[in-house]
Amino acid sequence: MTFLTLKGLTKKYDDAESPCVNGLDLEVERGRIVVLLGPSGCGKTTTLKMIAGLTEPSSGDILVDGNSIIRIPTEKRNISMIFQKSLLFPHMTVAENIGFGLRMRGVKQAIVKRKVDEMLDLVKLKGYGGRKAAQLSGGQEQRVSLARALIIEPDILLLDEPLSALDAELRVEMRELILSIKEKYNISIVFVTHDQAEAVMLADKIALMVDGKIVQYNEPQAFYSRPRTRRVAEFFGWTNFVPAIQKGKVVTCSFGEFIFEGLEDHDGPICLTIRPDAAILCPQGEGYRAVVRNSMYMGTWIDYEVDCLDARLGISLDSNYIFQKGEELSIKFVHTKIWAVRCDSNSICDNRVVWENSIPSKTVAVKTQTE
Amino acid sequence: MAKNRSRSRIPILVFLYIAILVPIIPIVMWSFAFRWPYPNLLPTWSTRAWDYVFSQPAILSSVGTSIVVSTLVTMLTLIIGYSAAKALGTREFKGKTTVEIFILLPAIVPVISAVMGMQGIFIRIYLSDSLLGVVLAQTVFTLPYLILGLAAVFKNYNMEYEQVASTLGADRWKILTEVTIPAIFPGLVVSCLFAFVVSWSQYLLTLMIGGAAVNTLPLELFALMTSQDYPVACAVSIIFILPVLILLGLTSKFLTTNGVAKGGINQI
Repeated sequence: MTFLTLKGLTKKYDDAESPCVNGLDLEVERGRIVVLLGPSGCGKTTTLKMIAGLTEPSSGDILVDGNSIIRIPTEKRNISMIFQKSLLFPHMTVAENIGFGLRMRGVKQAIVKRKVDEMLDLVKLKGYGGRKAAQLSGGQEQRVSLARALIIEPDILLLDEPLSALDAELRVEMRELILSIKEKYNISIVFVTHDQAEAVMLADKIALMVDGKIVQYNEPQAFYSRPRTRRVAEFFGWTNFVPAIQKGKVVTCSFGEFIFEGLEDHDGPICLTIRPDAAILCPQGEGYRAVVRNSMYMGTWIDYEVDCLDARLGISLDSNYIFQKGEELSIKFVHTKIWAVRCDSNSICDNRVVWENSIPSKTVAVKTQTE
Repeated sequence: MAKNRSRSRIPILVFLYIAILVPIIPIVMWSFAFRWPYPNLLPTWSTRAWDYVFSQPAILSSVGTSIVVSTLVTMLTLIIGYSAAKALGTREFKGKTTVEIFILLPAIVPVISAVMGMQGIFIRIYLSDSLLGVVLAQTVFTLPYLILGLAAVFKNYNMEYEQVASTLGADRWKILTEVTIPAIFPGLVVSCLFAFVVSWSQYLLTLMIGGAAVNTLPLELFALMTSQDYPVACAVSIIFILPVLILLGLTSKFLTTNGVAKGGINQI
């Protein structure tokens, strides 16, 4: 069931030429984590602040459980927000910080104390209640701010890159904490990040935002298997592009004809995206003929650069299979890992250009080594 | 370590005490003098001046008037100046420098050139010769000190604290009392102290706007200074500087930039 709905949400700052958030539509279900993913400046934080009521939208509507909240002031929305910095009030102890929301609601002292203890337990900071914010580490601070946000039992929890200031280890810890909280409280979470890996690990659904618009809204897997545009495909891991022509449902390229279920009908140029793990190389057998150009040993896998028909492809294989440079092989494709993407308006779907543009840095490294 | 540091501070402290207290010693001695003719190192002692001061209702009531006026001025300055200081400290907008210069103007322009015009206006709107008139007039000249002082404090203040507080259910009033004021408290106290001291020592404004109706301590002091009765003038001088010294003592822990920084929200 949809719990939070954004309808045509738009924000244009007076001094800006184009809107920062442009007609955003989004539906978030109860008990789910939606990650707003996008490069900095794409409007994801502004969207979050509009949901919290900290920024007023230029137009559009925000519904919680079917009711518009656009006229409700921030303090009455019951939507908690966690910022990049922990922002613990420095003149209060940890316990006072956590209890802040309840005190604002006029809850009795004894109940506040009990709930604060529960929260300290939840974020694994038992016994830290009497400390000041300045006496905590970065990870502890962010956990306190999480406890402070959760104690008011918010309908929606908003997180604005809360992990970006933390070390790798603490991130894992905090991520697990967030996931366990989702289970425990069954609340809707909107999480903002620019880190694609973080998004994939946390999200039930990802909304990829570029220039104030949602480019794709799907489960994380779909961004790998069925990206909507070339830029989306590139954003989610390295991939090969092969130029093709689409006519109706049929996509034709030098590798043959493909029909992709769920691909929009369209006439014109298109790109096949072939993930590095979409191909199997064998010394002989059926399939296309491929010549190994370069290889790089990566430990558990090996990256090969092969020429196949008119394309040059980057292929990753299990390091059990070792092939030599110049070796002739046969190549087969796993069709579920191939997809077709429309080129973004400004990029040309030309084989040479595609290759040069998307050439992975690791392949470049191989070249300089062998020459 | 700590011991070493406190030992190295001793000369500085001694210097400070000498610089502040030594000029006061002759004043104290004069106030207890009967006569102090030229070559004598010490005066002939007497409590005549103090007896006289405490027997004069005009002097005693002027102390009360001064306290009332300066307190009211400080409060009014704070109420008016707070929002301006917050806007200047936390926001960027077009023409900010111009606004800042306009706010500074009362501190740059000599009081005398402004007070002539003000007096005419105040007479017309029946504010001259009244306590309210004096308070309003002084507030114009204390505002720049408070606004610019407080704006500097707000520069170190992160507005996101207020956003967090509001998502946690704090309304504007609760944000002000529970988050903002505690966060800027030391800077707030120091800025108010500036406003109080500026108001406390106003002479010309009080004289022109208040006429004879509002008799503050500086007016009494100036009258006595010209009367050539040195012991009495010095006794009143001590009464004049005493409240300021007491306030300084009470707020001393906030007074250094370090103290202001420690209290303000800027560690993160």
